[in-house]
Amino acid sequence: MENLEKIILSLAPDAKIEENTQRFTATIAPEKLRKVAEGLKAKGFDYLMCLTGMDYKDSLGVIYHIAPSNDEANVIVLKTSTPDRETPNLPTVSDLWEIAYFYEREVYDFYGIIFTNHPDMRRLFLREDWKGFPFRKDYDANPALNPIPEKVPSVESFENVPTYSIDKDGKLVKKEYPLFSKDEYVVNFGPQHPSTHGVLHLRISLEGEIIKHIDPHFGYIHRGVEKMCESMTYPQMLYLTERLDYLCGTMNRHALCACIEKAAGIEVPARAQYVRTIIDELTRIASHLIGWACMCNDMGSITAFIYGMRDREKIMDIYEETAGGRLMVNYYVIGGLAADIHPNFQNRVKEFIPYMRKMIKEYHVLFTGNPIAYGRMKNIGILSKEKAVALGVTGPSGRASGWACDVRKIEPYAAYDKVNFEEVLHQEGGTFDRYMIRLEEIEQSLRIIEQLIDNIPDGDFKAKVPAIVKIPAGEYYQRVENARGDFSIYINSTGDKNPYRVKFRSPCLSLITALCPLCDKEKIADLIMISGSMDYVIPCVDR
Amino acid sequence: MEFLTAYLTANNIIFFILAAIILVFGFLSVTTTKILRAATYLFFVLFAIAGLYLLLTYEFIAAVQLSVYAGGIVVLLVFAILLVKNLGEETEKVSCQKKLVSAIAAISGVVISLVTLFGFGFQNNESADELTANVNMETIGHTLMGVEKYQYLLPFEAASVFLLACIIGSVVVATNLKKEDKK
Amino acid sequence: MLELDKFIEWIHSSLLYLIGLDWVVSLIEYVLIGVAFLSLYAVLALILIYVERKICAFFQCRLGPTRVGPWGLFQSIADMVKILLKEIIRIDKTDQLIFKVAPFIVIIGSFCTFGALQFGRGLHGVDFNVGLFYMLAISSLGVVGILLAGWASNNKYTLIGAMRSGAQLVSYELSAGISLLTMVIISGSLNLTDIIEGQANAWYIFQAPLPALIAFVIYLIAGHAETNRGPFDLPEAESELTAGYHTEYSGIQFGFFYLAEYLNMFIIAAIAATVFLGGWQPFHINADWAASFNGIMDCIPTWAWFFGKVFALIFLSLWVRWTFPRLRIDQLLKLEWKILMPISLVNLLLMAVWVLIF
Repeated sequence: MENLEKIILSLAPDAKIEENTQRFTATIAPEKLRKVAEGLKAKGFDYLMCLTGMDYKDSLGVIYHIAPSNDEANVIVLKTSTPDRETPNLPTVSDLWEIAYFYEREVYDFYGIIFTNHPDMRRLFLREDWKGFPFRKDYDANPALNPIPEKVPSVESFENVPTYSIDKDGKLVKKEYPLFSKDEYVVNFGPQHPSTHGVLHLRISLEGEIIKHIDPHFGYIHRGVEKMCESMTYPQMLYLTERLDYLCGTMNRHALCACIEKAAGIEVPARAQYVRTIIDELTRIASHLIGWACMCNDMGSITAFIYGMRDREKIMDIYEETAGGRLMVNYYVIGGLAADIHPNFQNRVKEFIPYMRKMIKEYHVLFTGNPIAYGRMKNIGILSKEKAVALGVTGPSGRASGWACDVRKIEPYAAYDKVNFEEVLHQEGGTFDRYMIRLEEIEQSLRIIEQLIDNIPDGDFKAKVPAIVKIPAGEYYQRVENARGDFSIYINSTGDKNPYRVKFRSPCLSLITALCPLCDKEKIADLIMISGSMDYVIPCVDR
Repeated sequence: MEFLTAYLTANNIIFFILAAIILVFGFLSVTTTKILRAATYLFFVLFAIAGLYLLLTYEFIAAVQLSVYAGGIVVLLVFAILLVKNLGEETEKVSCQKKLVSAIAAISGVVISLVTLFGFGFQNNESADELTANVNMETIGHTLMGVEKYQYLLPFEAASVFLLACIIGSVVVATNLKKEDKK
Repeated sequence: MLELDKFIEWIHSSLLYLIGLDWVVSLIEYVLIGVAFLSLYAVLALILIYVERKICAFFQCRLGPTRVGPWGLFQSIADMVKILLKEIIRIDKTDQLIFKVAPFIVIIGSFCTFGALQFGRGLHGVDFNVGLFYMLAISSLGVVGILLAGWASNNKYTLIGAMRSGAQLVSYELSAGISLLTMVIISGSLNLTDIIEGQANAWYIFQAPLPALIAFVIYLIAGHAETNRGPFDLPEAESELTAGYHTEYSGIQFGFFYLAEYLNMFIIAAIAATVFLGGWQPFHINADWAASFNGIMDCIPTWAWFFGKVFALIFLSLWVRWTFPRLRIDQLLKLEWKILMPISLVNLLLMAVWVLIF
């Protein structure tokens, strides 16, 4: 802690260090932001974990969660704000951490904070002609202001890229440039496309079969989950989490439960912790199975797809028996579980483990060793470790590049500190590594489940929780490793029964960000396969 | 009446149908202003010509016609799509001078072919049948590969060397483009 | 016993007896042959669609169609009725003429090849002097329709699909043609009847085991590629180009592409069976002691031999289709130009030497 303090104070002597918070927090003036950011980057803080926009009512601000990639537990929280509500502007950090390119666009979209010198200040989720910035507390949500457009918006509306900079007199200058030149062959991939894994829209500039440039276009299913949370009580919020990344719903819900429990000081019974861990790992298997299956399907192997879906069905059946739900399991509640496990649960899980091991062997025989599949995956879409860190690519895709970023190891939660498992790492970062790592992680998940399933302690499955959950004023940040990477939740509470601000750190956004540099000069078929190997889920991006 | 029955044999009817197809689509392919349509019409013309050969029981020539000419249309289409910008748009109107020059060229072409055709001493029908019946695959093969009089090994080899040179040339051009790309 | 050539002769003689006029009989027979071929074409497509769905389901641990009729037998008939009733959607801003002509070109190319096949002893429509060459030539015309369809749809996906198809067909025709040429060396004729007669005692694949086997494998690969089916389904790569060149087609126009695709699969298998596996010739062992065995083989009608061989090859093609992932365009071209082409050229030489020596 002192060390961090020293670093910050040496960079910005007037920084305000906050005490009594979960993480090391420093507030700095916006003029100092660039200097501190550059200094931190030079000190090895190369992973921008999360970038959150904030409306403090009297000012608009941004919160940066920054950590070194080799020591992720050492998080620095930087805060800065500007009182200007008309044309609020802050310097960009997108040149230091590439992932900020999208994060800052998101903040601009919701709060109207302009990041000067950012290469692309378009909105990220909403239409370009949207009036107002919806996450500001004084936003007017009157539907008359933003009627449903009668005409399809023109392509130019999202292809004219504005950038802002500050000239010598301190004035904000706006410049625009076109994204594509006139003779470029631009193809729309999505929003309706069989292999964009959701409602993703990519504008791809092609030269024959070769990709020159990709411009992702989000927001087709944006529901404003974070904004909705601000008007909901904590138990209500839980139901939204599973609708973010529907393939690892239980883990997202786990993150929110854990965050609230930690904040409210609720002790979760050991039985609930164990069951949560088992269910999370089952979800991870199910999600990796879909990831594997979809990737095979993207490469044209429909048989492999059906095999993956068949085996995932077994996990869904286990869920159905215990929780009642299949995709939306709705099983965790604040303080524990909604109900005790089904008497059959342990037996079925124990039957599933050897079955799954056998099936993984079959997958390898069917697909991994196939010369066509191998030839297509090997040496394609290589993501170096540095690039993975800069783009914030966590989870299996990050580990395939050799970045040990498993939150289960870094900040163990639930019962992860009681089990032995290996953090699977690959070094090359190619598509084949991302493919293999999923199958290898399934084996590790089976190992975790094997260690826990016979040792579920007796006792309550739910702690006593007050009827109205309130968490003390303050800021809380909880990280969870979901099947796609680091899923974190930031809650800013004023002590009320609903939060002041909630932010979900989506691992999928960075996975899509990585798509653009990876597919440069590759072929269309590779784009589909690389996006399959990234295994993103769009509702997680379009929160 | 006698005239009609004499000419209304199945062969003649089919010949007239094919001839009509050739003329109509030939005319269309020259007059259309859209390049892809022109290629499609040309495809029909070549297809119908293959039909004419079949009518004469020149099966080998018919198959060659299909394979080389009609198959060549594929390449023509690919190039049309690749090389011509704004395919959907119609081509420009040509100037009068150009029209005149091309008309002269066309008419002189027709005259030359007619003169050659009528100058050729066609034998009567029976011997023509004999001629076609004799052309089997073996004769064609030997003629192509022989070195005696009226045999064509030299032109065959010359053509293949020429094609080889073309292939090598295109490979060289393509690799140069790749190198420039890398730079 | 169950041969159909007697039946056809019987039809011919009874027609002659009933009508007596030569040219009327010929006319009726031409019409009958046309109708027979058209209905065989359609019925085979229905059977193939059903077979593919069942076999694919078998590979994927599913059941496939089960609801319409016993074992879902009438499923493809129901599908056919559906596709006939569907609306043909008119696409705006396209070259309507080319758009409408394209499916016909595809199906004409496929049907003209189909017409030259020999289904059994005496069961064939035309018998060309250069039958094999004719089939190669005319089956390559379908790609014109695909290119036109892709361009005329005025859609970027279809255009990419069409260009892929053009590259693929032009390349793979070479090695398919050369591997058939290899077999022509041994048969000494391009006439399909001669080719089949030449295999009465032993199929060509047994007559020159090594070069014939290589040519057989190359032809299967190249032929499979020519049918645009997985792992060579790049022109309609569903996960990349939605449906490739026929994305914009609906109703029976789409049906034509679909029909042609399935029948092309049949045609490729049929040519392979004819040239390598003796066509409708029964399996014979060319030795004195095997006379009774050969006799038993002769009891099976020739058309059953033909369809048996063809369906065995189709099963192989489906097996490949439902197992392998799709190739990328550069892998596809590399496979053809750097592997199959050189091998088939060397194989051609090998076959020539083989025929000279043995």
